[in-house]
Amino acid sequence: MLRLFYEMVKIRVVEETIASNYFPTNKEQEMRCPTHLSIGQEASAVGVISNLRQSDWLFGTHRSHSTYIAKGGCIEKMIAELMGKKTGCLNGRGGSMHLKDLSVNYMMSVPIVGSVIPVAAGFALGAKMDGLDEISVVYFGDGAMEEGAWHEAANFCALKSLPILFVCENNLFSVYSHIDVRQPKTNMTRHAKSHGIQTFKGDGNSLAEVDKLARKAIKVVRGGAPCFLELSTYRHLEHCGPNNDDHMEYRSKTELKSWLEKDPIKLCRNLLLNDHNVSTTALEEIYTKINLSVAEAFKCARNAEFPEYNDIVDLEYPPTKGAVI
Amino acid sequence: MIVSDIINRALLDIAIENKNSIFFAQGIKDPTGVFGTLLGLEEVIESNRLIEMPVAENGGIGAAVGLAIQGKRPIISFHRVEFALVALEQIINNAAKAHFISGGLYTAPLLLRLIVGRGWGQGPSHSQSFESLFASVPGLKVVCPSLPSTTYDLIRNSFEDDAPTICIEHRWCHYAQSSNPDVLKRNDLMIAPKLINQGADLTIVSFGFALIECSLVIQEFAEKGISIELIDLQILRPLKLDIVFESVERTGKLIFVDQGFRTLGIGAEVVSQVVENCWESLESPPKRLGLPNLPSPSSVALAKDYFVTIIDIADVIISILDLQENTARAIKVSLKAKMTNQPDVPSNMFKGPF
Repeated sequence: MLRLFYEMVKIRVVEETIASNYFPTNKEQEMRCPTHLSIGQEASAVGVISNLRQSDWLFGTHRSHSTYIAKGGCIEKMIAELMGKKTGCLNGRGGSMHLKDLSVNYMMSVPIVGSVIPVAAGFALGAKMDGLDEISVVYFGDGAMEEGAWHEAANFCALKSLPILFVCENNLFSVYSHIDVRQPKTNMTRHAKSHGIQTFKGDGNSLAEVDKLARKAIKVVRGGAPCFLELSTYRHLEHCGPNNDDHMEYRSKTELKSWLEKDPIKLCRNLLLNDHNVSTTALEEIYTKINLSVAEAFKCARNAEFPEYNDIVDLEYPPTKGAVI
Repeated sequence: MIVSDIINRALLDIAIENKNSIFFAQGIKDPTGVFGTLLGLEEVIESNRLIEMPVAENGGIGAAVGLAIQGKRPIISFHRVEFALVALEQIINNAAKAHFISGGLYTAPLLLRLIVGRGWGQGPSHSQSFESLFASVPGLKVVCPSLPSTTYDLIRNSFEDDAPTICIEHRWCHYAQSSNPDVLKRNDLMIAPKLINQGADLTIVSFGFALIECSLVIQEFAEKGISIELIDLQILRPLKLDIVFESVERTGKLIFVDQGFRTLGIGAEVVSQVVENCWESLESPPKRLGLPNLPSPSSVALAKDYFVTIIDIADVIISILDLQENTARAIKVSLKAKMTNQPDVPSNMFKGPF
């Protein structure tokens, strides 16, 4: 559990460092792209992804820093990408919403809601065709459940019995719209059940619960069937940006308060201290170590060069070879 | 042999020669085989390479994009172009951007065949070509087969290209016939745009079914000693127009005949580039023909004025070349004799349903 706590703290520290550096005083902004922070959703990322193999394929959304980091994606490259640098994970072509680290099979994140789900289904189809051991894992939010792309992909994966894990991080909001004004019911598993897909549902802020459910769900998928995992969670900050936006009063104070009390890192920390006999000093050491490495990642990203327009001019098409059009 | 048979042979040869080719369609194994073009696949390849696609175009294309990124080479066939409109999201957001997003670490080499309906009352949402819609998207390639002599190469090369490629097949081109056995011959390199006929008096550029109409028209003019150069674009994106510029520099005159809409059609881009590059050589303003600013109507009575006919093309040629009235009349009489009795069928033999 300490190892997973470490992973969650890594995500939290990266996100908080992004937030505190997003509007620097007395200098030009360095991170010049829309940025959707994952603060509050660390357990739903780490609890599932820590049970995957590095070779399993992962797909994410506009809010993907947590899944990218949990999969082992290079933090320095992610920060450099936010800063539009040549050393970024897309060499400055993508920004925060288009992440990728093929060295750990973090295949892509796509910001159009639901868009990445069919592509993940294609990877699962390929795995089945070629008899590969890899599974395809795709993250999305409750909003994606309203998209045709999800239903089309779910039907396809159920029909072909494909090895794919659908992970729905239900954080109740799509931008400022609460689930109550978007769907007649708040239970997301019903969408998967209607396609004949086995489902699991639980508290996405409890690392232990996510871990337990993920193991069960992944077992189903490795057995050659799609599976759906709904994890209830909450984003602490605004939809997009480094601040909170609660002055707009689009979410109730009681709701916010109850979720902040269920902060996944706070819950896990208490558990470690009280039930696992981990010392405060040990936890402090984790923070110290992570703070150092994140500061180093920011420093490297900051010192990196910007790309040049010349680097992208030939990137419309793959190079032609032989008989070509 | 007709063009749909040639496409069928090209796809069968691809299936046999390339184990990574995966075929997607609704009715992949149905007895009509997407207008005959997919017939026989079952006999030559294993059935797991034939994917029956649920009625979910966006999801199906997305899955094909995933497969393509993994290194497979999907070929997806839709019975009508309009079905691709519900899949534009995957085509544009994921297929077209795979190479750019990954910096070349992966690509999405899929071939998407879209068939244009025409005639027999198909009406507004079953007879659009939309090539310029696809051709406006960076990262996509767009091709349009036309004559039997060029179709085999175009299909094979489009499949082999590593970029996501949209192949717009006009249903009426499927009926174009040739008895030359060389139509199934493979050239190592395809030259496109392709010079179909050499001429000195005027340049016509076209593609798809419109190109077939143009080739009929220029034969009539040739008999009267008027020599018209005809160029088939074949590849609508990326456009490589050197051969067109060179031709206009010789003839000084240009007509573009679009298969789809005239407004913002492929002709709008081609004429713009010709004006930019050959201004000094142009002896008269370039002319464009194409579909009007209306969805296509169903009724046979309306189709006759909606679609560009061989007479419309002849009229523009006559006006640009300022031909004598009796020559013009003779040409139009011969052309009229070549037209079908009704404007909603590709030949008088055609009895529907589509």
